Amino acid sequence: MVALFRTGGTARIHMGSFEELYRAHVQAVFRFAMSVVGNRETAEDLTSEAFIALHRNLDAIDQSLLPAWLLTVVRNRARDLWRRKAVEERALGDLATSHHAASDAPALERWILDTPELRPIHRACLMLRYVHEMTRAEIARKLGLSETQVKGHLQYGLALLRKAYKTSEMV
Amino acid sequence: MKAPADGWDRDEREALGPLEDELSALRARHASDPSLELLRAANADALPPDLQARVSEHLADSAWSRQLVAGANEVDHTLDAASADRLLARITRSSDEPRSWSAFHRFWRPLLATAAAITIVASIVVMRRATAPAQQAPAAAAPQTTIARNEPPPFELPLHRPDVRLSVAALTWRGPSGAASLVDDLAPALDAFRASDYARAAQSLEPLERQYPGAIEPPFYRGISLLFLNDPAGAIDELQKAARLADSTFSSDVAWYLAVAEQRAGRTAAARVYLDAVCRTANAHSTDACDALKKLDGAR
Repeated sequence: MVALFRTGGTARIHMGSFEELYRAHVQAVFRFAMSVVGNRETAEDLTSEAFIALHRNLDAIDQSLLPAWLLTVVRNRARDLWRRKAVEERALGDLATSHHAASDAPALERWILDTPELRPIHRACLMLRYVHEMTRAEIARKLGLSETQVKGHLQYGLALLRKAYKTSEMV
Repeated sequence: MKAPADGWDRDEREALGPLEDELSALRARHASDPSLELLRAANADALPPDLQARVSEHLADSAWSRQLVAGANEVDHTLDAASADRLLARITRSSDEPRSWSAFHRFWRPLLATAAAITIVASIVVMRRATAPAQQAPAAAAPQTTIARNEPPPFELPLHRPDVRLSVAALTWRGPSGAASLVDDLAPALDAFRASDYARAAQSLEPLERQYPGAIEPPFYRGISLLFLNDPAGAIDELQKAARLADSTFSSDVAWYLAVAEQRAGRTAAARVYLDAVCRTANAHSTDACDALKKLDGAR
């Protein structure tokens, strides 16, 4: 029972088994870390912290709890990061959580959200470029795409948009 | 029409020209939306509780923001083989560092040592003062050292109840089969803590300290409960136990409440040591700690 709460001494762990666990779960942990912090460098830091915690607690952890245990470490560390960021950027305190009734959405918003030919990634690129006014490079960085991919998604979305208003679905 | 910093290309100008008014309306409508990073973190339940509640509420209401998150999550992020190997090497290196160089030594040991030294010096000064009249005839007023002060300080560190959170160790604790988990055992005490019933919280947490000697939650929340019960000396004992457990997730919180407890025990110098450490690192209390240091300096 108390093994998990050891506070001193690091048990020597058979690296073979640790490495197997690392290889089995690193992609899932990294993917999750990317989804909570949005940039590779910080996601790698969180991933590495989670596996260091695993390494230190390996003999006390029920391995059937993996990767959930690792994701919990990432989530807790991410909360710490956001807490810190919220303190540093008082702007987060001004989050005027805007409420948007779907019923009063402009036609263009309804088109972006409802057009079945658009995939979520097309919608995200259109939103970030034309409403949140980002450069292609910024979008690429935020979404983890290449600029060429961003350009391709935008061209596809714009072609559909043009077709839509030419056939009077809009405007 | 306003264009992003890299400007519209011809295709974009042609497609969006007729939609200028619609786009302006959309920009105004979404100008105060949370950033994509915040939305994604909230979607993964990875924000501190107050922020999580606000952004989750926005997400529940906004189909636009939900689609933005869905788009971002559609991209599959992977580590290539070289990056995975590099990360493994880094993890192995860090894990092989002696544990003594982890959070405890980096953060707590110097702090506890300094605070302890100040406490000892303060105690000696207080004891000498207490025995002075018996040993010395009262003389002309001599300059007095005021390391220990028993009068109320001109500025008092605020005491707020923190949001209850649990360590990874508590969440993943496994006992003998059929045994209740640490989280289950903590629940009544933490419910009392949340309800500001600090006497019941302190009483319920005491046996848990013996039952789970390596868990940080019992001494941490008991220490804060004792602070609310106006027992700073008891709070210091408890919070120092929490500090010795060296859980880096709690370290800045423990240091902040130790500062509050030390100040309320009349040991402003020891409080200052903790405040200084909290102020120097980025954490949820750093702004308050830096402000407090300035106010304490101003009050001197």
